[in-house]
Amino acid sequence: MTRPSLPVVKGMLDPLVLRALSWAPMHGFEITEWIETRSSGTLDLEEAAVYQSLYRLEARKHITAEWGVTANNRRARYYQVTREGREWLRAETRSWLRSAEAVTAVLTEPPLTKAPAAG
Amino acid sequence: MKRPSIRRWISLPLSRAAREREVDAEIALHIALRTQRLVEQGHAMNSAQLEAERRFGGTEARLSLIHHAHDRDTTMTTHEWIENTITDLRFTVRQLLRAPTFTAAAVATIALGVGANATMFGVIDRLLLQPPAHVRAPERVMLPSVTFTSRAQHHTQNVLSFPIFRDLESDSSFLGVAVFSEASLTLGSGQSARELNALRVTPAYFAVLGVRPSAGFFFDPTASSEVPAVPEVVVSEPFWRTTLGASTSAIGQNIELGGRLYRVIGIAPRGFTGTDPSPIDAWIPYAAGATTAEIARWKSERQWYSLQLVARLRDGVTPGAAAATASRAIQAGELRDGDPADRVRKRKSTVTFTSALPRDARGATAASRVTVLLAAMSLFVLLLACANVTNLQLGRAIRRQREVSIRLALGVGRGRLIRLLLTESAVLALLGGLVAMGVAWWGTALMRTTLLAGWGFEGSPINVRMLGYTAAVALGAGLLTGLFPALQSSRPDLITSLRTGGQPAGSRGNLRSWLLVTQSALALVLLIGTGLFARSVKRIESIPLGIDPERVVVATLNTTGRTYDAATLTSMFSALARAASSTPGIERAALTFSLPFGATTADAIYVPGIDTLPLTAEGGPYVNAVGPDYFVTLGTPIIAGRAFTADDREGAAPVAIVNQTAARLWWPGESALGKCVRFDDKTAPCATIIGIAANSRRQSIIEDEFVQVTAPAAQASAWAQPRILLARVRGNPTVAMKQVQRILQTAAPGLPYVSVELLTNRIAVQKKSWRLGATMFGVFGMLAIILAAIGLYGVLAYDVSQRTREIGVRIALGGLPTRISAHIVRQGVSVAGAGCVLGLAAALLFGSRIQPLLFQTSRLDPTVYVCALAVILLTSILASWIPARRAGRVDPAIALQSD
Repeated sequence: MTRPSLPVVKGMLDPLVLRALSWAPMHGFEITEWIETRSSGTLDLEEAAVYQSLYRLEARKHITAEWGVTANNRRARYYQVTREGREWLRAETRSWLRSAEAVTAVLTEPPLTKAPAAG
Repeated sequence: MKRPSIRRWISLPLSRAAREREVDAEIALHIALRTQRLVEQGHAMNSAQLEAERRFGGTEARLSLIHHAHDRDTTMTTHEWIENTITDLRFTVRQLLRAPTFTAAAVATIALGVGANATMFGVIDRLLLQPPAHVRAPERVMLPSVTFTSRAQHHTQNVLSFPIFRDLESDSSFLGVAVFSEASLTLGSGQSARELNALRVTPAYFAVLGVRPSAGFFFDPTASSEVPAVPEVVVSEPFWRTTLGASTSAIGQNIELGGRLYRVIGIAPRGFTGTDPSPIDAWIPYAAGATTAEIARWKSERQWYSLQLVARLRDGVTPGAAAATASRAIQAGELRDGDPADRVRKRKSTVTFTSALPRDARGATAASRVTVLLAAMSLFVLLLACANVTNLQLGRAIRRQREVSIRLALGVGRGRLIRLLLTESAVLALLGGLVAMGVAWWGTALMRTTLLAGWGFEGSPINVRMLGYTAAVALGAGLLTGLFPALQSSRPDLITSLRTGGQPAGSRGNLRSWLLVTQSALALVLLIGTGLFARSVKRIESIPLGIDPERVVVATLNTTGRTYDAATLTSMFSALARAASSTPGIERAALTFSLPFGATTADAIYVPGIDTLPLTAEGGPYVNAVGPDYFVTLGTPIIAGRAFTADDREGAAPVAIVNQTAARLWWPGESALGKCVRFDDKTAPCATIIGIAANSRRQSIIEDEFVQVTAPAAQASAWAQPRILLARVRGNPTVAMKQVQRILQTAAPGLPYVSVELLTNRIAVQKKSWRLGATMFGVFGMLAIILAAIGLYGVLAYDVSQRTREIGVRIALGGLPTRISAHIVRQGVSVAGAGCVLGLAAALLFGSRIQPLLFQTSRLDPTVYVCALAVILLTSILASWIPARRAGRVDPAIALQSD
């Protein structure tokens, strides 16, 4: 029933995290769960990598962070997308779609039938 | 889930520990929540926890995260910092350009304050802080003086003799002792000859100071004391550069100094001037040019005082201990040289030391005390300037209050706002500092030609130390003037100021008044100082000197390095005197042994019937030997009796003239005329006193009276032969002086260089520090009062402009414009009045520090105080007058429309 999950394509974790945050400010675990849920468990997230991605995005000012409190009164670091982050995500999504389309197109192209010999 | 409002997160640099805690907290939450999910999915609690941890990746993942977090923080903070700074600078420059008057006023005020300060720092640094150049461990280098106490004499002097040098040399407290003596030496001969500043030194001189040559060698202390036919000379670096053409072959070359050849053996390092700051061109062996007889004489005669000593203490010996052993060594030397034991005991020659450090060597001089005082004044002026800039900034802050309130309401952080305001102050300070450099450049150049004239200055007026000082002071001033307004304006009462459109809040108004009060107080203190100094100078100018120095030219023969016997010298001076008496441009001329404001000589005098001659604190008795026209040439009145005449010649009845003090002290209540004095010896023939001369000066304008006995040169002892020619010239003395030099130079064939000098120059040098003190006090005082006036005017004018509406209402309600104007003036005067009270208290409290620098002026001189108060109050009235008039002319119709 369960298909084996796939690793995230290199370089795609940052857009995924940003996508998650573009819905609402979240803390690290929420982001992890959000991606897992949305990908229906297809994507195998390396959990620590999510945080690495968060810190990277923060340094690039694509997101900002602030300590807040969860519903259960636990201290958590909440992340929010900045304007720059949104723009970058848009650009990144566009280029991903184009390359995925191209890759898909190449991979799914039916083999060429032999041209009839001239004659 | 509760969402926190996320503001723009301004990151502050986190400590390492804090960052690790943050990362750990994030991990802990993640693992806890994951465990919870796993339990919900049916895992047992224990295994769930383990699984959660495994998924996260353990210690390795944690370390990697901490590393990432560190990268994040460092990039972010530097980034943000640079970005913010650039934005702030851009914003600040725009803001400053938009308010050119404010910017110019603030920059000019800072520049004046800091510039005056930097100038004084430069002088103090040079005068009192910087040790003598190239001298190793100058605190161990001692300059001895000896106090001689006896029945007939009591005297402290630093001009000593060769036997005393030998006494100290034998004392084991010292690593080395050397002799030095300033001399003027002629370079070359004939018309192209010029005078050099030379120092005659014994070979150990350079070793005692611990200085190394920049090229060649110094004198060899181990060489024989015989001076070779071609003596050696060490030249200064500037001399080598300008006169010897900076050539490497200069060493070994011969140059003509004082009519004889010297071989250049070494070049002193650049800037080396010995223990004294005045520049030296050449160092020659002490005995060079002296005859064997002369050498023998000064080597043996204890009282042939003609040289100074410098000694380096042995390690571990304190100056006090060395002074004690040196005193004993001198007393032993006196015994050995045949002084009777009881006389040595009674004489009690004692040594005192001054180190070569400038604050020891020069700290007590009037010039350095005046300089320190001026530096204190310049600090006052800086404070005043800072108060003014603070006031300007506060005014600006009030004007901007509305803008600031809006920014705060829009969520700009307070820290960010303070930063912005401080950036503005820093930019102002920087600009002010740059202009201050110009002020300091000019000020230092001025000081070099006035207060510090004659010092060996080289290079640019501004050095690295001064640059650093200026930068530090300017930045400090910027912070000082910016911090308070910044703190204040970043905390405005939001609602009030938005509603009223930025009326001055009470507390800030108070701060501004306090600044004004302080300014008035500082200005008053400076004005009182100016007044006290000006009065001192006036008193000094009016001191009777007992001479009429205008138009008196002093001529001497420069014989350094040449050998003449006494008879030749005497005949040369006779030739000079003859030439002078036949020169139409010369009114009177006379030969003399010594003269006021020159070197004086004390000698034993015996008066029949008086056991111990009464003396004054100046010591003595001082002895002079003069030609017939001496008193009239110098302009010293003869109070009683007669002056010398040509008949008071050798072989005639011995005569003498005493000064008023000697006449009063030695023959109180009776006339000194006709009394007898004996020179040198109890058995000498009786010289009859034929005249009483007015008291004149010995060395300085300000000194105690002293006793002096003068003999006719023709009858004086052999050692007191005249070697100075005085000439009272006609017309402009500076022009006449040059003619006199030309005429005298050709008075006889083969004369050495004739040096001429105006007597007034010697006196002016002594008045210089006072005059300069008064001038600088005056300049600073003016600056202070102008700054205070501008400050008061600015605040009142601003106040009036802010209260236009209120004033309009008052006038509309029937208030008299004159009463409103009077109210504004009263406001200004009351601020100044409060400042005066504070200033008076300060002046009374700290005034005692200035007392030693004043001359015959009480620090509580009522005239000075009254004048200073009047100036401050009048200025405050003037400063409030324009705003007051403006207030009186407010048109209620227009004022009330303004909203």
